[in-house]
Amino acid sequence: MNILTNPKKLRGFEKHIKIENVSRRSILKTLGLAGGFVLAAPVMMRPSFAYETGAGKMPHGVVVDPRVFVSIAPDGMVTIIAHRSEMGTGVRTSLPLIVAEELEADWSRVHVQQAHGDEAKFGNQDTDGSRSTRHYLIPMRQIGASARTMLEQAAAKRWGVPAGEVKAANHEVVHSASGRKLGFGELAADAAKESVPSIEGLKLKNPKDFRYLGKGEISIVDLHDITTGAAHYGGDARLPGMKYAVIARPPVTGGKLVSFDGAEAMKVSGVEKVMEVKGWPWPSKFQPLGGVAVIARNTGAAIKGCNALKVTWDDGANAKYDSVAYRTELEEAARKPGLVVRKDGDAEAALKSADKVIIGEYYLPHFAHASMEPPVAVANVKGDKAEVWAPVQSPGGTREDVAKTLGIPEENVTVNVTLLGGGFGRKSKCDFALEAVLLSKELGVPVKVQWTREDDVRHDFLHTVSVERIEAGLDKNGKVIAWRHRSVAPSIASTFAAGTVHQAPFELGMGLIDNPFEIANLQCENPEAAAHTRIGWFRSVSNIPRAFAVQSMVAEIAHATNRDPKDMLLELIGSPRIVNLSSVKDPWNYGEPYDSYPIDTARLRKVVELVADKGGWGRSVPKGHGLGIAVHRSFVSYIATIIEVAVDDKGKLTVPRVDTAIDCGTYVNPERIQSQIEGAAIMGLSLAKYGEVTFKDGKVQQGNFDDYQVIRIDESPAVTNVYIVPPASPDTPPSGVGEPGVPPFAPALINAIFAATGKRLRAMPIGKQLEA
Amino acid sequence: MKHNFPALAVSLLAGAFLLSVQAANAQTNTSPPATATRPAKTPAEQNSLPNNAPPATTNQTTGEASRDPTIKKMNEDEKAKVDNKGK
Repeated sequence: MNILTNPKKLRGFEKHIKIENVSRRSILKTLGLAGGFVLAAPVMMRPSFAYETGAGKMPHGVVVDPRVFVSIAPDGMVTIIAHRSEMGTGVRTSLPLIVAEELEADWSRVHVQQAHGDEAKFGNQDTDGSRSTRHYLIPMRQIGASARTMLEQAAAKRWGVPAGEVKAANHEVVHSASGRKLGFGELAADAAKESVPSIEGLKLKNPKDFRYLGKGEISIVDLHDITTGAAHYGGDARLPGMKYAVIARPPVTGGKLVSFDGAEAMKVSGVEKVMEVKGWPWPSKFQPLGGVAVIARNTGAAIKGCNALKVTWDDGANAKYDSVAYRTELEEAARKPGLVVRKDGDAEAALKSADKVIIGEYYLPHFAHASMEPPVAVANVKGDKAEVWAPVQSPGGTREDVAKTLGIPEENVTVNVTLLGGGFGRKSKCDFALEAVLLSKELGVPVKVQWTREDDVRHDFLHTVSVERIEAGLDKNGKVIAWRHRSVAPSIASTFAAGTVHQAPFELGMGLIDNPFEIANLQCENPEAAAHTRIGWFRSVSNIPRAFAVQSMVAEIAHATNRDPKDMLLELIGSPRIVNLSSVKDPWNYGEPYDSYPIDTARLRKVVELVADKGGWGRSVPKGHGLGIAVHRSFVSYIATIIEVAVDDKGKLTVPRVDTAIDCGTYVNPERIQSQIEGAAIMGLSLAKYGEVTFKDGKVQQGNFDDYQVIRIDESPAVTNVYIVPPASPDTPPSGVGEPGVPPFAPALINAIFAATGKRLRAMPIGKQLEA
Repeated sequence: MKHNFPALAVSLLAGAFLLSVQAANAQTNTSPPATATRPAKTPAEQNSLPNNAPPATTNQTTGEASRDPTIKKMNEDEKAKVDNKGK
């Protein structure tokens, strides 16, 4: 533990302890001031528990060391490090809360500090993939239990009693036999001298004794600041002498700057300089696109200066990228055989012999992340050192990329993580931070690079565009005997691997090769699809188009065979079993071991049955209303949604009610699960109604919320009910929550629209398709 | 839960930076009024050279393998990373 042992030497610094970020140098400084305590190297340990996760295989793995994550001040204030980024999921509360639970800390006396980017010290920090609780529930419990054990050992020594006779409870250690008690602050110095207990010998709390976990009674630590406007995001970072930069970037992916004239820009009051920003040929991972930067004394001047630039671009090889034409290309590709990525039985033969074949082609356009806060970063590069303040989902990755881009050692780079005003995967890519460090290095002063909304939409790492084609073969009894699913979509791998035409295993594992249906003849194919713009991770990633297609097709089969969609869904899921993926060459399972996280159709069935029960499936609804249902497993969680829609005679769509059941295994904070599902409903409806980025002549045609809309509050679902399946046991592995709510939303909505209107929509967004 | 702390301060006990924050606050007094300054809807003064690129297809890739050894390595590392963990 980083325990402050000498209050006198700390005089004058107390008020500064309560700050949000913590850096390596500050900890060392603290230790130097405190004396008598040496921070050992972090302990890389393999968490030991009833199940394995993929955490250890992540870059830099897991660090289980209370000295890295916990400190206790002499006044008893416990500080817990949050090493993941807060973008609205509540992770900055949930992970420290786990530590506090096992530590027996009083949450009202806990302060949370945001870690800087340092994966060697903190372990993997990528806040994506709905992994944080999944990978850190056990390690955080072990960290808290280790710290608790050290405090108990210190108390036992102080009293000269066996350690087994003392027990930590509610921020103090108690010796029941004598009635003696000592607060955590009183024990901190001695506890720091105790050795860190081995993980194998740790005694974790019995879950029945939990005070915080699973209760949902703790507000997120940032709630007050967020709701009062006091929270600090990337755009709030300011340094003395800082310059403000807005950049004109090549409008076509792979394009480059030919020439520019900054004379008019320089006439704008506040503009100080116009300069070229280095860019790299595409693909170049997360490197800047390059372009022309306008450097000014404030952001407004920089924007005006940017508007006044005269620039000539060479649009390069993607200058003819056109959304309408490319959709046709994707559809044609989906109608021809592609790379077979799963083959059970003989779907080809079964389709030929089927009594009836139902075919559905489903189109999903590019989406922009459009988080409320556009990308922004502040950088200060001095000599061979760089410091960055930015809302990044991958602080460790940002640190690494800054170091490589500048050609300096990683230990010379400090990445301070601010709150993120939304992320959705966009801020896993640190191009905006790299722009800032390059400009700061060039100018020799701190620089803030501010992306406008237009920059964000036009130069995003977009969600891929896709066509999903499903052919279902039925026998004379209406039983599905064949299923062929072709998924055609440019891969995220194209962002760092030239020549990519097939999706990567992790994309194929999101709703394609992991199909849970009990169908004897099932084949999945992945025809070629070259990318013509930057593709990136977007909340739920490939699960969105796959769930849209598969769950729409289920309802289409139900309609064709005159069956209830929920019953059809359960019939296709089939018997309760663990799905055998032995026919898949690379059965990617969200990076998790299949033994811990198998595809369990009993759990899939259960969420369907639960939501059908709670959501009143089959209830009578008014004329013009309809119910739709969908289920999907993603990020190793199971989630089913029923949506009630109303469509008036002019085609206006409203959503009176959403019901969602989720099985995410063992959970920490049900209030956060509720909020994530509510957020997924908002996002899901936004994407379904309006989400579409289009290209003409290689350029994005949208720019702001007037043409890339999100739903307003009056369009939001009136009611969103969430039902959480209790974990089967305390050893049930936790699974994802942040992303799984999105994929089943669109198909449930589309199925509900069909029930209400008889119109089957197979392309998103809904747009004007419902208008008479 | 204590939560209302000056979030801009970045380093624990980093006095130098705390001083920087105070100085930065003073600087905000000279900032322009917060009236909306919007990017150009369509950048009229930006144009592109004539281009004879072929139409975008599903089977013809247009990216180019980086010749910059640093970027080449970063691309390769990221590819290996996602193949291993999926990101």
